[in-house]
Amino acid sequence: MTEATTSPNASAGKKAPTPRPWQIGRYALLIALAAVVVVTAIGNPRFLSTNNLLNILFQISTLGVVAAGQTMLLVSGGLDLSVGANLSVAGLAAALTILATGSTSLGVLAGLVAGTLIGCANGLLVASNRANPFIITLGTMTFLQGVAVVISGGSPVNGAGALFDLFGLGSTFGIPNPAYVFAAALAATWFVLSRVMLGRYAYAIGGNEEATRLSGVPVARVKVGLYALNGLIVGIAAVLLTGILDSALPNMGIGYELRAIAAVVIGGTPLSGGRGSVLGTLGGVLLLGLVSNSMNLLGVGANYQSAVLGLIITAAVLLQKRT
Amino acid sequence: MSALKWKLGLAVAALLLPAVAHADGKTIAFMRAGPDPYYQYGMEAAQEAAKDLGVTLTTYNANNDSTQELANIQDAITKGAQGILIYAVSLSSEKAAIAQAQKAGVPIFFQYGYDPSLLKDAAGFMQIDVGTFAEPLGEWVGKQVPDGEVAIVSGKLGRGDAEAYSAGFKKGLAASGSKATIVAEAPGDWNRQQALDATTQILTAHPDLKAIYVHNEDMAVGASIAIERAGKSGQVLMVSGNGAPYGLDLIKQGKLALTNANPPSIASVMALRLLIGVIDKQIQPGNYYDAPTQLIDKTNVDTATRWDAPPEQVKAWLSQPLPQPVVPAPGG
Amino acid sequence: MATGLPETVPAAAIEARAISKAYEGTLALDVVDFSVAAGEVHGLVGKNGAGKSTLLRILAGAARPDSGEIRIGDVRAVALNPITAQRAGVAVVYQNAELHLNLSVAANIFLGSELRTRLRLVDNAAIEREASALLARLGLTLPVAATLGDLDIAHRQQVAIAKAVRANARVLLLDEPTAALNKSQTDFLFRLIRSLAADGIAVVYISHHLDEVLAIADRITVLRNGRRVGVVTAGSVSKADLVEMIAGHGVSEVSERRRRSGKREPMLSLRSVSLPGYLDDVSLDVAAGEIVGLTGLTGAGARTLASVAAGVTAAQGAITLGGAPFAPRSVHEAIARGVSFVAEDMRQRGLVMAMSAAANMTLARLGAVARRGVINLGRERAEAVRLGHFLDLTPRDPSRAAMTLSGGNQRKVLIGRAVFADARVLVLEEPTQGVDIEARRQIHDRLRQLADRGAAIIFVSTDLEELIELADRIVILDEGRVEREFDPEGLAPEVLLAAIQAGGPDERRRD
Repeated sequence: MTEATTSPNASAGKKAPTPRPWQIGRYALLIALAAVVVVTAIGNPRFLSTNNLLNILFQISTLGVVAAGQTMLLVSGGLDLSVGANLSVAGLAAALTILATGSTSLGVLAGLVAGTLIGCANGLLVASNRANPFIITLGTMTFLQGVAVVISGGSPVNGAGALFDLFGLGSTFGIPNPAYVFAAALAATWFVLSRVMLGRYAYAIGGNEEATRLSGVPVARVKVGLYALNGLIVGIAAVLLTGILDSALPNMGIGYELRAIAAVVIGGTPLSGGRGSVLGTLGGVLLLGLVSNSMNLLGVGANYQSAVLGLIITAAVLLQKRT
Repeated sequence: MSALKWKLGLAVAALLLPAVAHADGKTIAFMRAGPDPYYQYGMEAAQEAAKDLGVTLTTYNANNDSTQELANIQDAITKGAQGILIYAVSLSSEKAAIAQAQKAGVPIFFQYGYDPSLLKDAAGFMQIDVGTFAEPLGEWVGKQVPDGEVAIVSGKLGRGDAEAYSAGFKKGLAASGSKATIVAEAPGDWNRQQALDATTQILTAHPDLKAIYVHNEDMAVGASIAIERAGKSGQVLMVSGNGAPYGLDLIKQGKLALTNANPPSIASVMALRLLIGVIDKQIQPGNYYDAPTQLIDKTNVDTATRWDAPPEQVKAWLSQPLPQPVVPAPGG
Repeated sequence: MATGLPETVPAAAIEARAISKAYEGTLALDVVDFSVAAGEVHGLVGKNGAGKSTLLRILAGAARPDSGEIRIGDVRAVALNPITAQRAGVAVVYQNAELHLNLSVAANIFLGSELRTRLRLVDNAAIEREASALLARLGLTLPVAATLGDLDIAHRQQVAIAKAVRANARVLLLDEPTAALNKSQTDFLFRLIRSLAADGIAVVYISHHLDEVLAIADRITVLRNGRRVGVVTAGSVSKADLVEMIAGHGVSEVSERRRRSGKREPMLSLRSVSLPGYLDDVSLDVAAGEIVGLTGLTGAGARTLASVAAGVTAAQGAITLGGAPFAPRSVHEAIARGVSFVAEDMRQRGLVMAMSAAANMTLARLGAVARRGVINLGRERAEAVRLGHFLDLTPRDPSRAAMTLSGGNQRKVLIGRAVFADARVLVLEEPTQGVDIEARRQIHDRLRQLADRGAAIIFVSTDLEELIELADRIVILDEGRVEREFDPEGLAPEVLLAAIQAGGPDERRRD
């Protein structure tokens, strides 16, 4: 006997409401940014002054450039811990060249070339080695830190000539010049990730490296390309920072690697790769910059600043995980 | 087989020869806490002096890592150093360092990082008095700024010196009779990037700032950029400490008004002489010495003691009288 | 074989009442009732997307229904999660069973409920003893100390079932259990299921293989578009009846007539190909427009041969493609020469799940929609839409992430990738494994069309019906050698099966 029963409610096409936790996770970063802005503005109204907002832009530009490059690497499932040390070496290369030749253009070229070569070397190591890029770039980071001390003799290299006028003091249409470099880096990285084959391959490798390999994509070559491109971006950041500080120091890049990764992860790109966008990174960089600025404006004691920053980063990441 | 023995014999002899040749020259281990130029200049001056004193100086870098520092000390002792001249990484690591050196009977002399409880076990301590170091700076600022807003950009807290500098400055400021108030204290962590950002924030929050005390000149470079960017170059008076080459440049450029210098060059040379004296049993161990300091401004910047001292200058220091022990030793 | 169950069924071992569940706005289950009695084998069938997986996950506690309730043994289950479900006596064996391949059989069975010595240390000896006893009781012969990773899928599945029994499961949920099993392994599984049912365990059997479901189940629930369209006793329906309930309309099983290729110049030619331990002096020709089906027992070499033919695995011997030697040094080269490989394991070796269907399809030849390294997104989308039409992709929107697609559609995307890469030779592993009836027919039709357009197609399959329906020639391998060839026209599945089975004993050779 066949019992054929049909459900009483013929509800074809009935749509269920979108679940809420999904929404919260997506907007977590915006909520955090808004919270910081509101709290700080109440504590010190000067926070919202044009002057201060421009200062914030100025202060996050270098980190922003580094974070833009790191976004590409994280999307591909890789990462580069040596970008901070790379920054120092490339900055020193630029400053030393300016010192030796008196030419700003040569200095800029030296910085860009140094950054790209280092990035390329990292890429070759990562692509040819099955070890985790974390370990590999940790090693290159240590090596590069030593290189920085050696080529600088441990002392600052003072004088960046025209670069200081351009980046340290210069502004166009009222906006500090470093912000333009930041914007350009963001735009370029966005373009690569969304429109260029290299960027598409980055997403593919991050999403499923084996499947990508089996689709005939030259995975090793792509990785080298990504790391080299990241190196070039770090070189740009190095030239920028050298200009801002009117000098290059062997330790000037320390901490940038971790802060850049934090900004990228806060922005929604997972460490495992396969997803992510520079827009999120922009949010992450903004959050880090706003918090630092805010704490100084509110007079938060030096002892507490690290702790507060750490709490905010952790909270932002945990909220993101709920998507 | 005998050819091999010959080679072995030669090798052993080659290893022993330098030891034999230097049997009468002393070996001193110079240890610095990290790659910071401050320690570097101290080391270079000491190296120059060592040449003239007929002493071999081996150098070590702890890279700001206490564990590395202890390893360096063990290494130096094993390699036969007769004395250790050290810039310690932190107060806490000094105790361990002394313990190691004592066990081997090697005199150890500390620069910068005074701990009164350790004085009796050390060959000596030489440093500036961090408590009073910033007082003259505070007094000078107080005289220039009888009323108004003043800020401090401090070094990394936790080692004791940054706290002492700020306290000394405030004391000096109060002693000058000025009614100026300290409206902001932000951390610059000894580096110019952070000082740049911190000073920018301070200037945003207090646009009428009259003066700023920046604990060291590396940070002062950053602070001066911030002041320039804010267009307040003539308005904000900056004072600092160190006397580093880039600091002297800042003075020459008019961006830094006054600095209290504690040149590592002359200090290390004097400390080296004292240590050798202790090893030769001509000087009593366990004493505290003041490191030479000098207030520098535009008027004496060209004749000031430099960190990057030329060899003639170092030679001159070798014949100057040695610093006298401070008795009773300070409480710390 | 259906047992005669009374019309009124006693208290259920597990029951779902009025379950509804929506994902991202679409209803996966629409007020569905489902109940299984103790000792009953209950089949659950339906197309991909009908809701079977969702219902399974809800029963296992891996998903929460939006409304409705679950009752286990007549007790209402509150806040069910995989752990509480397990404690309540529900055990699941998923298609890709989550087992720990680096641990031993015994360790896996006792994972999470290890026996301990007085000192609270894990008592490995006791675990192995108990595991042996348990396996013996179930009629399984497995070395308890063997590492799970060394065993084949069939044996791993047995371990998963043993684990469930050990945990005193009263309800056993099986998801496509015979997907990777051959006939004799399937028979063994059925005997095991019947003995478990005789012990009073309720077994839920989800499968696309209607013949199997009719053979093993007592009752069958049919889902369609998230609703339950019927519950039938297995003895009272025919396969055609089930098909009609599942698809909502009559579906012809046999795909369109195939063109017989006469003696043509071979496109891909393998001569004396050997790979020690896998293949022994194999020669094979595939002509343009021809579809060759490779099959054999596990370890016979069919998969290896396909892999070698696709240039993915290197072997000794000579391979020519279009007359020229074919020995690609990289996958890139193979694809550039027109040879594409579609692996069975879509998750690991096929799709980038987070990327869109379109991006997955163009991945092997991205340069075709790019100029000077810059991708023309508009053109890519147009190509993807075109391919989507050709493949009957559901949903048609190629910007949907691959992970949101059903198994059948995912397979179509992979085929689409090969088509986009201008494959002249297409090599596929189990092209319709885990795929619903309609998608399966569509895939077969498309493959036939591609062959008609001149491609040479090789596929490996253990699905007898598929071999007979799709292939122009069936090649049976045994112990690394070509054993027999069959013309599928009018071939009966039993005959083919017998020929495959006639091969040597099941050796432990990896395929």
